[in-house]
Parts: sequence; structure tokens; C-alpha cells
Amino acid sequence: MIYFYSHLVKYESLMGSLDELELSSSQKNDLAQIIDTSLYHMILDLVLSNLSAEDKKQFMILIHDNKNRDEIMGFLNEKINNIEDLITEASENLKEELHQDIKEAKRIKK
Amino acid sequence: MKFISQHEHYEHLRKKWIQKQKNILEKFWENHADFLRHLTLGGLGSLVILSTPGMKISPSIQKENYTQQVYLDTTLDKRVTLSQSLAPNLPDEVTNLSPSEETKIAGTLSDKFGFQVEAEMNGIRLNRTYGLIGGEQHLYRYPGDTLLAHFESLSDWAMFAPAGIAPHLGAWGYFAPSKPQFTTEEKNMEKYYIAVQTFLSPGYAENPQKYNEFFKYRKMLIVNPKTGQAVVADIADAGPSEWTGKQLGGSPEVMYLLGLGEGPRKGGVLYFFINDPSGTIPLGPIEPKK
Repeated sequence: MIYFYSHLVKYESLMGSLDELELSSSQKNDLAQIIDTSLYHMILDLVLSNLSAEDKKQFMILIHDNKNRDEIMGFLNEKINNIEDLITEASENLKEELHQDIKEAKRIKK
Repeated sequence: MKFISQHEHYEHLRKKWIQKQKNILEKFWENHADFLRHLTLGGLGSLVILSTPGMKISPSIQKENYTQQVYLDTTLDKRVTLSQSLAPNLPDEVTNLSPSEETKIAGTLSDKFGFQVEAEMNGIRLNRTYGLIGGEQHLYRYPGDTLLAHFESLSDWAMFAPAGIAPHLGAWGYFAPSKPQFTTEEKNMEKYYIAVQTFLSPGYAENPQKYNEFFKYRKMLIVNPKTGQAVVADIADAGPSEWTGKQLGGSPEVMYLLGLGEGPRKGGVLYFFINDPSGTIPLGPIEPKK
């Protein structure tokens, strides 16, 4: 699935770390969906918290109408200062937490 | 006796990440519940909220979910109708179509999808229009491309990475000369690609250059006649070899969209050229219009 912010989030390090755990396909799928959903709502929260009431509605219409990424990001860049940096920073912070959790999981002795 | 799980890493992470997700969602709802409730009454709110295990849904959003279900039911009905329309003209086995079967099926598909599809275009046709499709690997898209760079979400990675990446380039080489020049359109060309037996096309041996120019990224409508699932795909590779017993191959995303992404990753599909001179029909999944 492509989200309007996908180009701002680098997943490769997480993919690599999860691959090292030798999870089954269904386990990978499960964890991947939890992360994607968490990131999506975290970014949605960030965006909505920085928009006026009228702009929030306009943003939700763009999402609802499945507009392309350029159109959605064009709108957000116009309305929120440095939104791309804010999204990148928020996603990097979450990724850092997830990496720490994976390190902790690896220390669990079987 | 102490029970020791074989999936301790997974269980540890799942427990931790479900809690993290719950915290994020609680904060989200705390900050925006009023706004979203107001928006849902206008029909927008729930469609942007991803489904989440255990997520509490307000009654107004439950009502909106009903509307989504109606939408889903309508789509599924159209697929069933398509499948039923195709069935009378399909042979029992996945084998070549007779000329009259091919004409009727092309007519049905053109009518259902709202654009012209053809078995033959510019005097060129493939060896088959009904055949067994098998799963292919991802293709390198530009110099320095990697498998992991193909995915824009972790869910896509989990679903489509296991197919791997082919050691060779596609039939037409890289999709873009470099990463900075790589466009969204080219991304979709690899994502929704098929491999077809260009070399078995009648007349190919006499004029391979002319035929390759025709086949290069040619758009095709691929339909799973059992389920009515369909994709607009482009020809980006040549194959599979005759000895495999298959007539075409689909990228991992194409196979998934045709309902053939799991199990044996093989099944019978119809495949016809799309007459789209102005390039308006986008690559990707497509639903019958009626």
C-alpha cells in the first residue's frame, strides 16, 4: 500500500532487522501491519494537529477521494511549515524505538 | 514442565507493538474524536481510518462501515457477474481458445470494462489468450536498485519480498537509466508487469525487432475468469520457457491482485491487448464497470 508520506519514511533498516529474526510469513505480515497502522495514525495525528478546522476537512476530502501523493503533499506543504521534516522526524523516532525493541527481543534466550 | 515458545521474539515484539499501537490510537482519538465524529456524519471519517485489531468504533462510524460494506458487496457482485458471463465461452481445460470463443470473450471483456480489448493488434498476436500464469520475481528497475527499495510500506514488504528479485534484467533492460530519473510511472510498470511468450508469437522469428517494439511495455488486461479479479499490466519480460507448461508470468503484485498470490501461485487467466492509444488506462487493479 502507498501512503501519502511513503516517500518520507525509509523502511529498509527495519526490513533488514525483521529479516534477521527468521519469522514466518504470517508473523512478518502481522508485525508489519501493526507498524504500518501505528505509523499511519501517528502521522495523521501530527498532520491534523497542525491544520485549522477548515483545512482538516479539506485534507480528509483529499484522502477520502484517494488523490495522488503530489496533490496531498502539495496541500500540506502549503498549509504546514516544514511538514515533510516533521513527518520524517516523527517516523525516525518511531523507527528508533522499534529498533530498540528488536534488539531487546534478540536478547531473549530460547 | 516449563513451556518454551518457539516464537519468543515474535510474541515479545507483538505484545510490545500492540501496546504501542494502542497508545498511539488513544492519543489520536483523544486529539481528534470530535472532529472525526463530525466528519463521519458527512460520510468521510471512517474511510480514512485503517482497521485495527480491537479498535473501538463509534456508532456513527459503524454506520459508515455499513456503507463501505455495500460498496464491497457491489464490487464483488460485478466480479461474480463477469465470471458468470465468461464461463459459457471458456473451454473446460486451460487451453487455447477457438476463434469464436476468443471473439465472444473479447467482446464480453470490452463491454464489462468499458474499453476495447483485442487478441490481435497491428497484425500481431501472442500464441495464446487463455493460459496458465505463474509467479515471477521482482525486476531491477535502475542501476543500483535493491529488492528492499521496491516497497513503500512494511506490509508490502512482508507480502511481496519473499518472491525475491530476478538475477537478470527484464526483456527491455532497466526501466530507468538512473535512480534520480526513475518515475512513478516506471515504478508502476515494474510493479504490474507480466512476462509473455513473445518468441512464440506467430511471425516473430521473421521480424523480431518489429515484434519486440510492439510488445515493449504493451498494456494487457489480465482476468482471472474464476473470480472476476482483473489487472491492467504491461509486458516487461519474455517467458516463461515452453517446458514449464505455463504461458505467462506475473509480478508478485499482479499475482496477488488476480487472487493467485498464495499456494501454488499458478492459475488460468485470460489476457488480451488493450487498445489505449492515448495512454489513459492506468496500470494496476481494475474492476468491471457493469
